[in-house]
Amino acid sequence: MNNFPKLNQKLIFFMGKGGVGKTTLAHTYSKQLASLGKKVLLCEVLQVTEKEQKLLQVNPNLWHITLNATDCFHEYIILKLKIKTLYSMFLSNKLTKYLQKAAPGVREMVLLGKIWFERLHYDSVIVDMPSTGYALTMLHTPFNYSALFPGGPVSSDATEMISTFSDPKQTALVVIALAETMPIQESLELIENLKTLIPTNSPHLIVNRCLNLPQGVQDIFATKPQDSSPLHAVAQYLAQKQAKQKQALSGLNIPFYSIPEG
Amino acid sequence: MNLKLKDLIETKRVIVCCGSGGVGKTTLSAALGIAAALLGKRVVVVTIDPAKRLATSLGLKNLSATATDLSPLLIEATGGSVKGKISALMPDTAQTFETFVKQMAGTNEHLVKKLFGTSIYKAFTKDFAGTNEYMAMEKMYELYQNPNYDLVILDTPPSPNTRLFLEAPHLFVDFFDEKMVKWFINPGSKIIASGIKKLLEILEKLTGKGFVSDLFDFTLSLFELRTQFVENLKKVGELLHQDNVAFLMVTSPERLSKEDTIDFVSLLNELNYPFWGFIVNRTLSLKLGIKDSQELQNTQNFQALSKDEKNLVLKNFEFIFKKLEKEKEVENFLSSCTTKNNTVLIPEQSDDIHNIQTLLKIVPHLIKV
Repeated sequence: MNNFPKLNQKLIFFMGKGGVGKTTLAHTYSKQLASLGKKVLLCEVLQVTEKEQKLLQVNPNLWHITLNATDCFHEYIILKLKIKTLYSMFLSNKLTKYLQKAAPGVREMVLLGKIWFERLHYDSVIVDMPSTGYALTMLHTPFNYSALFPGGPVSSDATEMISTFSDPKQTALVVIALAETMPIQESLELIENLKTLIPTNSPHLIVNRCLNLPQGVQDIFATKPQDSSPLHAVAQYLAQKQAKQKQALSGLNIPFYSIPEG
Repeated sequence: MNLKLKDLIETKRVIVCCGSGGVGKTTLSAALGIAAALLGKRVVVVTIDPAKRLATSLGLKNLSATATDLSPLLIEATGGSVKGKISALMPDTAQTFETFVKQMAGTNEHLVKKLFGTSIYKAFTKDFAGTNEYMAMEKMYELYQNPNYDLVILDTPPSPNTRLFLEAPHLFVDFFDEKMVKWFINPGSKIIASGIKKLLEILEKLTGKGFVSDLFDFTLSLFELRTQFVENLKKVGELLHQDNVAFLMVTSPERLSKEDTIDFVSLLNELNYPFWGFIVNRTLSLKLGIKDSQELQNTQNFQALSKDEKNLVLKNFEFIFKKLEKEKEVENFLSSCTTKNNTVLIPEQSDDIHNIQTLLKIVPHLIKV
């Protein structure tokens, strides 16, 4: 990962559309940071499925967790209400259970809140976010909540979350794309949306799976007879793919990091 | 060329393109639309996609909530006459939702005013779980009834898994869990009344003054529309059971999730929705005529290369071999998923698809023009 930006913020969010390699990159980068002696939590957020939330220690410096919204909700309420009789009553109530599922934004807020809170226990929390649309929805939530609630702890937590996310020293927003026109276009839109939401913290752009053909691979075949050999077909495919990637990247007018395929 | 897809376009009124994000679902929906127009259909392609992929793949800056007629562009791109008509639109979810709520509420203007006035409504219309998907279905139903269109192609909202589209509207209706909302309206049951009171006090402490009453207003107003919501969902559900509707799953060899595919196909069966088959996008359209690198090394062409060239070639061949093997496996897997033998492969194009000209290059793989 030589081409990867050097990030050591408390919170590092990996975002991008489905299939661009967010999970793999988040894993690789977590391991790398941990190998440098940092205490790292790799945090996976799923859009739909709720898995059991269990903290696993992967190696002496690296922990892994897949978040579960119900568990996060419980943790938050316990943290805020403190007194056992109070939170037990609140959490076991059917109306609470209903509100937790049905009230807009609760799921997103408690997931993001958990991530935000964990930064106090690690050098870095690396977050493998759900795909573009939902990741944006999640990041919008503290803004909605701080505006929605006239006061109280939820509102003040939301305001503090916003200030953490807005500080480039504390939070890194990483957008991952592939070297194709549409994915690049979408990543640029995501970056624009993030900039509108969090104007003080410019996202980093990473272009993943860049086909890095050694110089001359096309030339070999150009000099050979244009027969129907498998050699020719394959070379043509690779050359075309590289040309396509080059074209897609040529439209990028902001700095980016590229990661080779494989 | 594929006779099956031609038949599909000619006999159906609604084609729903499902699939997880990143497989090229939007591009293929647009290409299917073009194919249908070339076959003489008056077709409308609908997308609910905040990322504006449909606009991008059509070479447009933007799509609006009212249908844009693309027929002139298509005529220009083909350089000849086009028998049918094609338009595209991207409904604005917040706007569709508002219109929809107004329709549901009918003459009850007071209700509409109260609902739209709550801060919760303002902050969360777009983010409501399932709103996008529900509104996509609403729009589809509306266009299906529009006599100006023969065929509606629905590009479903991007989601991490395929079944979400089908489940989302139910999630949405779950919001109106009757028992719960009744507690809200009338916590009259003596056993729970004091508990509720205490609970709401805590809630008020957590969220600040005013929010709880706003939440009441919001929930109660929506609840008043419950019956209409559920009725409406039933109507859309009935449409989706009809013979003139087809569900396609778009996938690609690199992004196929077996678990998700099996889950989706069985869910469609369970719901009794008509599944048609698979479109596999971005396949490697290479016929190498050899089955491994050993065979390659035996060819005369290979042996004529220098040592460096050989290394270079072998390294890159591995890459392609792996891809081809994976594709074969994907094809076998898909044919094992359903008894319908409808799997259409779309080879990866050498050009990026970003306008009607480039989309037209896919069309011959869909239908014979």
